[in-house]
Amino acid sequence: MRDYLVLLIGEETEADDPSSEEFWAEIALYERFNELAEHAIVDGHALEPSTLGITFRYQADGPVLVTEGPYTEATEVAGGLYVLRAEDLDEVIELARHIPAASKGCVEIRPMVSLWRSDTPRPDGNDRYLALLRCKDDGTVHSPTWDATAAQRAIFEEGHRASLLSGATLHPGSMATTLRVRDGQPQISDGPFADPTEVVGGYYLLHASSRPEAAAIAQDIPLAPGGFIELRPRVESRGA
Amino acid sequence: MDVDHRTIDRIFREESGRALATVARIIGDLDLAEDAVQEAFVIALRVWPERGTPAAPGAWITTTARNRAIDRLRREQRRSAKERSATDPADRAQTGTHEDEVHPVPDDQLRLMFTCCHPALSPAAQVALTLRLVSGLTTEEIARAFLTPVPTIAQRLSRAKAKIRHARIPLRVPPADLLPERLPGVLACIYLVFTEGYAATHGDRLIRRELCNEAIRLATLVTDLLPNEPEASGLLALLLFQDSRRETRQSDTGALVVLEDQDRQRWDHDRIAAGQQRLEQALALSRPGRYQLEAAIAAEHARATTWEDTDWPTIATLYTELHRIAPSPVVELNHAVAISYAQDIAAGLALLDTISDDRRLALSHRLPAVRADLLRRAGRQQDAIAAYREALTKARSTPEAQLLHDRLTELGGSP
Repeated sequence: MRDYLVLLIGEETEADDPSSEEFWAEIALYERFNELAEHAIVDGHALEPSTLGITFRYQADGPVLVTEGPYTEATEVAGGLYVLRAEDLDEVIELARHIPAASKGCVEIRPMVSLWRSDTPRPDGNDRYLALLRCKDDGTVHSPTWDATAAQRAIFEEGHRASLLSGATLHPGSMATTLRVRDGQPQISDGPFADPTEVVGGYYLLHASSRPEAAAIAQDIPLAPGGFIELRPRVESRGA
Repeated sequence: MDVDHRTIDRIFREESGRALATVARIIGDLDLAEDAVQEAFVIALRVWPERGTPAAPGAWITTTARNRAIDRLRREQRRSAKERSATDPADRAQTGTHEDEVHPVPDDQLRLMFTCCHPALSPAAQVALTLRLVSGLTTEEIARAFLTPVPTIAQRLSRAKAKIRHARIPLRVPPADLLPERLPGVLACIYLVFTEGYAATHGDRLIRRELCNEAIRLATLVTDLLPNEPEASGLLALLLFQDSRRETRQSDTGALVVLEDQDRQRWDHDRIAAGQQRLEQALALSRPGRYQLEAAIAAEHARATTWEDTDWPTIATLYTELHRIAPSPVVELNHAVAISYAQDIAAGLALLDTISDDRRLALSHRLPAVRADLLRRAGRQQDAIAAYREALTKARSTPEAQLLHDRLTELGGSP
C-alpha cells in the first residue's frame, strides 16, 4: 500500500462562491466521491480561493519576498487535495477519475515519499492553512532543489511542532501522472500539471489563530533558489 | 571463444524478453528481475562455453534468473527483517523449489507489454522500454534506431523504470473492464516501433528492418493472446500489408518511390496473404476500428495488380468511415487523394480546402504536396508549380525533397 497526493486543479469559478447554487451542487458531488472512496481517503482538504493566498519566495540577496494573492497569472490553480492510500497507480486512477475536479479541470497524482500526521490537538478558533512547497523540478529522478533544504526542514519542523498538523514529502515531478476525464473517458498523461518551475515538492498543514500568525510560520519554512511557498487557507466548515 | 560470445548474445537477445517477463511475474519486481536476467547472462558467458548451450536455453535463463532473484531477496530479508512489509516479494516467490525448472509462459510477455505501455509513461518512454525489456534491444541499438544520443535513451529508460517503481505502475494485464481503455496504448506503441523502422529515409537499414520485424512479432503476440480483440489483429494485418511493400519503397539510390510507381512483383506476397488472413480474422468479430479500416485500405492496394486497377470507390468509402471514427488531417489528405480518383480531381481539391487551415498540418509539406499532385493531374501547371514550391520549403528529409524537386522540374518549374 502506498500513499498518493491527489492535487485538484481547475479554474476558479462561481462554483467557489458559497452563495451560489453551483457551489452546493459541487459539494454534493464531492460528498458522493467521499463515500465511494471512503476506504482509501487518508486526508482531504478544500482550499479557499487563491486570492486569499500568500506567496513566500526565495530571494538570493534578501529576506523572503511576501506577496498577497495567487502566485500565478495562470487561470488554473489548486483547489484542494486528497491523500489516497492504494495498492498501485491503477487503483488511484480508478478512484481519482470520480473526483469532480478531474472532469472540470484535472488532477495531479503524486506518489508520496513520506506522510506524517501529528496528534496535537487543535484549539477551537484556530484555522487550518495549507503551505504548498513549490520548487524548480528539472525532471530528474531526484529533485535537487527540494533535497537542498531537507536538513533545514527538519529543524523547522522541530521548532514549530505545536503548529504543524501534518507534513508530506513527494517524489519529484517526473514521477507524477496527470488525469483528466472528458466525456466519461480518462485521459492519462505522464508528468505533473504544473510548470517545471512550480512543481509541488511537499506540504505542511498547520493551524494558527490568525492569518498573520499563519504567515509568520510559513515565512520560516526553508527555501532554496527557485523555491516558494503557496500558503492557502483551508475551507473550514463552520457550525452545522 | 568469440563465436561462443556471439552465440550467447544472440540467444539472450531472443530469450531474455520472455525470461524477464516471467521472472518479473514470479517475484513482482521489475528492477530486480532485470538485474537477475543480467546476472544469468554473466553466468552463461562463464558456464556455457565449457558445458555447451543448454537444450532449452529459455528455460535455463528463466530458472537461473529466478534463482538469483530469490537469493538476493533472501539476503535482503535477513539484513532488514524489521522492515519487511506484508506483501514481501520473497514470500510471494516461494512457488516451487529452487530446483524446479521454470518455463516462460506467453501471458508473461503480454503482461510486460501492458506495463511498458502504461499510459502514465510518455509515448517515447513506452517505445524505449518496450524495445529494451520486451524485445531485448540494447540501449545502443535503440539509440541508433531513433538517431538519438545514447545518454538520452539511457536516461529515458532509467526514468521510466523509476516511475514504474515509485508510482507503483502495476505489473499485470489490465482487468477486462479496463482493457478497452488500455489496449489502444499498447497498439499505438507497437505502431510507433513499426513506423520508426519503416520510415527508412536515414540511418542504419539493418536495425530499421529489425524494428519492423519486431513490431510484427509484438503485434502477433498481442493478437494471439487476445483473440477477441479485433483491433489487435487489425493492426497486425496493417503492419503485414505495409511491410510487404518495404523492398519497393526506395530505389537503389535511396530515392522515394511512391505507391503508384512501386514494382508490385517485388511486394512480399507471403506477407500480403498473412495480412489478408489476419484482416479476415479481425472482421469476423464485427467490431470495426481504426486499424481494421486502415488495414482494409492497405488490402485494397495489395489486391490491385496495377495502380490503374485500384478500387478507389471502395477506398474512398473506407476513408469516409475512418474519418468518422478516428478523424485526423492526415486521414483527410489520403481521403482527398482517394476521392480524386473515385470521383474527380475537383472533389479531391474541395476536400483539401476543408483542411487547409488545420494547424496540425501547418509545418508539414504534405498538404501542399498532395494539392500539387492533384493540380498537376488536372493540368493546372502553374498552380501545381507554385504548390510544389511551397511543399519544398517544408520538406524535412532529403528523399522527400528530392521527390518534390523531380516533380517540379518535370513540369518545367524551378525551386
